[in-house]
Amino acid sequence: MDAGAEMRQPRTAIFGCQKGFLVSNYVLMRLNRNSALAGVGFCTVSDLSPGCEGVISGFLNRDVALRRFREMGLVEGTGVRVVRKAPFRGAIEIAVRGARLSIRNEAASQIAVRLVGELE
Amino acid sequence: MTGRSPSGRGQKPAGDKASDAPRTFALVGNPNSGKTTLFNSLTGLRQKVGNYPGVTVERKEGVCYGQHGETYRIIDLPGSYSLHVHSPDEEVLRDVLLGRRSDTPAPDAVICVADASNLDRHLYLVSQVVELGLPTIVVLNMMDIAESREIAVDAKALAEELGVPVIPMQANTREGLVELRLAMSRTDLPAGKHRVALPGSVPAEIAMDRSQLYLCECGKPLQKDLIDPAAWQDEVIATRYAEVDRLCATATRHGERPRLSTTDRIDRWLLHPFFGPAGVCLVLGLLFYLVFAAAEGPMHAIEGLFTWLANLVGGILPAGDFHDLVTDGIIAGVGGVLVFLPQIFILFFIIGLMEDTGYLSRVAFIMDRIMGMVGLNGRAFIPLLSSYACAVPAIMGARTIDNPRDRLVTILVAPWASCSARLPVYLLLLPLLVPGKHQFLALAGLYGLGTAGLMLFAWIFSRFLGRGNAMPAVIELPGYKRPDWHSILLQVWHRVRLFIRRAGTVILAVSILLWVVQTYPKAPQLEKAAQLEQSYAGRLGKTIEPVIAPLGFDWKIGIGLLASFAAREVFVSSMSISYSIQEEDEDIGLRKLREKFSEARRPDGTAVFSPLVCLSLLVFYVFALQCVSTVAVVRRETNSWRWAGFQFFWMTGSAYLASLLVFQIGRWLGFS
Repeated sequence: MDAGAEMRQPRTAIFGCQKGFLVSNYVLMRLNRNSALAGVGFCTVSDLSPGCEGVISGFLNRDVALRRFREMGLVEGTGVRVVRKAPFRGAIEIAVRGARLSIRNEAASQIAVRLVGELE
Repeated sequence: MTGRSPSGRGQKPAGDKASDAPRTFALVGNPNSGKTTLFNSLTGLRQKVGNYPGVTVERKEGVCYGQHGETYRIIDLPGSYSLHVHSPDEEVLRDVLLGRRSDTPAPDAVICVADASNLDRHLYLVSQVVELGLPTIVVLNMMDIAESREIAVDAKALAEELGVPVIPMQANTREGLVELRLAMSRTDLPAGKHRVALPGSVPAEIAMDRSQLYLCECGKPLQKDLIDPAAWQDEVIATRYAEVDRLCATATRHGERPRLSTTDRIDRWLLHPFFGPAGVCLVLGLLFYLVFAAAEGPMHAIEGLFTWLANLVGGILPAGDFHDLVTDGIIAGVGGVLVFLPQIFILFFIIGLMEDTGYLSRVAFIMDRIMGMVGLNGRAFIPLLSSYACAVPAIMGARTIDNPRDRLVTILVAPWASCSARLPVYLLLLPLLVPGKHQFLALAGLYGLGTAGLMLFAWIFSRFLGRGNAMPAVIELPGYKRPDWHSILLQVWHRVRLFIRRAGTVILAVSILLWVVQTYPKAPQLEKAAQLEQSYAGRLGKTIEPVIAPLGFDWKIGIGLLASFAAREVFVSSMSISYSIQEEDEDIGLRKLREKFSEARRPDGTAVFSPLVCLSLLVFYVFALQCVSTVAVVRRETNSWRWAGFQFFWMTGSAYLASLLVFQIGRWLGFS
């Protein structure tokens, strides 16, 4: 639906989650409502290693507070790259839509991503 | 309004409505879009900075002249990513734009600023604003940065799509300003025709009038029969971004992007896991040094100036009550306020520099983890640290925190950092408590105690202050840029002026009050100490003695404590009066005072300043909020006496409790 955003996303060859694919039953249960994510192995922005890229596939909860993320351009289908992570599970710097944002680890673990090129 | 415009320049463009008021433009844009720079270059010094009544949102208004000399009024609205309301700032933005605030006229037209190098995010707000149907000018700022990133922006194509004038600009070099002024002078400024097609789930009533999109809150439908906006708002956001992507595709061409930008290259070092924090320490060390050391000279100069002034005026005025009021009350009081100016200036200059270059966001990124542990925002780090010099500029500096809850917590806990005004008191009392070489450790201990209190209460406050509206802390890390000195100095100037004007009046009043209670009723035949004893302050000291006795304090310390509520360092001078020391050289004065302290005996023969009493007193000073300036500034920054009062009683209460525990447990353990 959002081909423009995906096309602009440079495709690098680095893939991988720190924890591999998360297929926790709990998370999948929550995501089954969202058909785009149901049954698909996925990880969140906080699982990505620096340099990794993903395409946002959804948010893990419907918290109103997360609307702020959407409004800053983190909508489904947008590419995200983790630029760096502060030590001790600190802030995470992400590149999204040509800008750099710093988000907290807890928030990053609410943003589900599909790894670029792997799941299509 | 007309009074502010020079005569002869206030003509309206022909064909304008026949009203006297100049045309009002609202200036909106994302944070970091260069909106403030544009505002400054449009208005120069013709600005008015204040607060919107009822909320703690800065209100900036200015007068600007069009290309043909006509006068316009410009309202600089808070930067925001969207018209959807998440914070008081954004509420003001929405309400002013929609003409819903009674204190601000509805704008006749809107200037919407977007960063040309970041259009795929900034066009989101632009598309929201254009939809409102007001005459709009879109300004594409930072064209130079877009160019350096090999992004070609086609302003004409964008103007065609949006149906409003689009003006490429570089606000920092004032390029494009003439074109903007020309557009502002246009009487036929078109209202935007561009509309994002809303998804079908949006109720028809809202789809008709786009401003309704921003007026309905999630979970609270406007009318009973409407569905909860939460159900469709995410869809609207997605649709809008799809449209933004389409607009970007038509209006911009991306060239080959360099693999590493300059910002990336700098960040590799400044955000390095090791060198990053080291750099922060270095910068903070410099900041501390400047606030403490470099401010010392100007502060002495200001003190000297006021002493000179007091002598001068004292020589002219005939001796008497009025003479004393002017020299000891007014001049000393005003001097006591203005003496903070160099510190405020230096602090705001450096914070402004860090903010303008983009480094402040990086500090927030590095410090986010530590601050997050006690529930504070990463941006709170700089204000809190500068609070160790003085809480007043620190509380004003908390304005850089965009989340209102985090800002409030920061303001509430900032005074627990041991400020420089506590130092004289620490230095006076510590030798009585700890003899010899270990004083330095004890001093560090007091600073540590204050810091622990700050952390603890930050944790408590952030727990209890509205977890409900906690926004995820997103900090934008803008690309580094060269500082805009003009903007920084203007910002500093506004802060300094606000401080003098508002906080100054309260401090002045309290200083006069303090002078009065320490002077009256007069008893000329008595010497200084006895005169103080029978003054209102002395009587008050005796009255509160039963309250402070459990802490180990006598009534003379009580007077010192009361006087300290004007400013902590007053304790020293007030105790000197109580123990009638002639003020000669400051250092000798301190030593003499300490001797007097150690000789002082209670009626029953025990020492007044026993080590335990000193400890209890020190603990009291670590925790208590004894500073009128702080209360006044908190009142202004939070826009309510409620928070200022809460903070005052909470801090002073915690100080009382801590001292009580120290003294009573100490006595129970057999110390004296």
